Amino acid sequence: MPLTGQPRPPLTRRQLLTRSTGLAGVFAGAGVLSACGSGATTAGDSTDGNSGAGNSGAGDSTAGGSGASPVATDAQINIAVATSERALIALYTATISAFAQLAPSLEPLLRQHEEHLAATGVEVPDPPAQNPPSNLSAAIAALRQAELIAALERRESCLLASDPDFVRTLTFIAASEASHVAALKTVGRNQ
Amino acid sequence: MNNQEALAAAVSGEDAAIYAYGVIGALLNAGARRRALEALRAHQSWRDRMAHLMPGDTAPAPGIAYDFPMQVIDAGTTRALAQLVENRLVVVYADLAATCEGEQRADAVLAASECATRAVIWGAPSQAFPHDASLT
Repeated sequence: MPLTGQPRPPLTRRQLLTRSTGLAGVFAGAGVLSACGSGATTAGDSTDGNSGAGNSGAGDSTAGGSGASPVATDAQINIAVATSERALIALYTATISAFAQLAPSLEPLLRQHEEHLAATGVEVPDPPAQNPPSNLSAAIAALRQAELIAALERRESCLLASDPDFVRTLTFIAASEASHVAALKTVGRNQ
Repeated sequence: MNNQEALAAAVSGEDAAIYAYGVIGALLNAGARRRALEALRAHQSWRDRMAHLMPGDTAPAPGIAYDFPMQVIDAGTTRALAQLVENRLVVVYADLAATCEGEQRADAVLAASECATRAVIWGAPSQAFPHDASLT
């Protein structure tokens, strides 16, 4: 079975964001690896106390919070995520513009942030123009710092979100941005 | 998928990862082997943490052995297996995060982030929505 060969067409947003036909469906029955020994049992009954409601998630304003402090709704969290992604896109664009030799390494990461922004489904205003550091390694360090902060913010957002599908999407985005921090470690080494 | 099913999938996924990293560690040298052993310990820790969240003895038992979806014969295919295991676990933890709240959800998001990061360190391309692309 081909494993890491040529890139495959990316999943559509709908596939990614819809639990029934998205990644959960792709992996149904597949697990991480298939056990060929005995003893693998499944636990739990089928009482489903927390299944997805089958909506698109992100835009809903289901304030599921309790307690005294004001709780962000999913819609508010979604706008915050979109704003953050928009700022990351601007930083990557400015960095690629200043250091064209980094484009092959940085453009895939830029495109992934564009996918994150598209997943929010909301339009946010452009952030103010920003100039990346004039030194190449400082510019890469600035990107890493921005990704680190974004990954932490996304993890925080996950904890505040209510809709299960939205939580799932935010988990993927948090994981993606955490992995960008690692990816950026090898960028610019040969420049 | 309810929370118990998602936890069981996480335990089973971690068992598969632990098995895989035993093979991976045996096939790699020096620095890569050390990294594989660190990953193995991380997966053992998450396996225990997830199993602990399941009542009584309901956590699934590990398989005796696992089928790899490809032949693991050299450093390249070994790294590919590590990438596959990590990226598949990201999906398992994203599914889990959607079924729980609070500390358990925080754990699931952190575990997903760690797995996606390890996949990239093993050479996988980063993804907007990390998963095992060979299955799509």
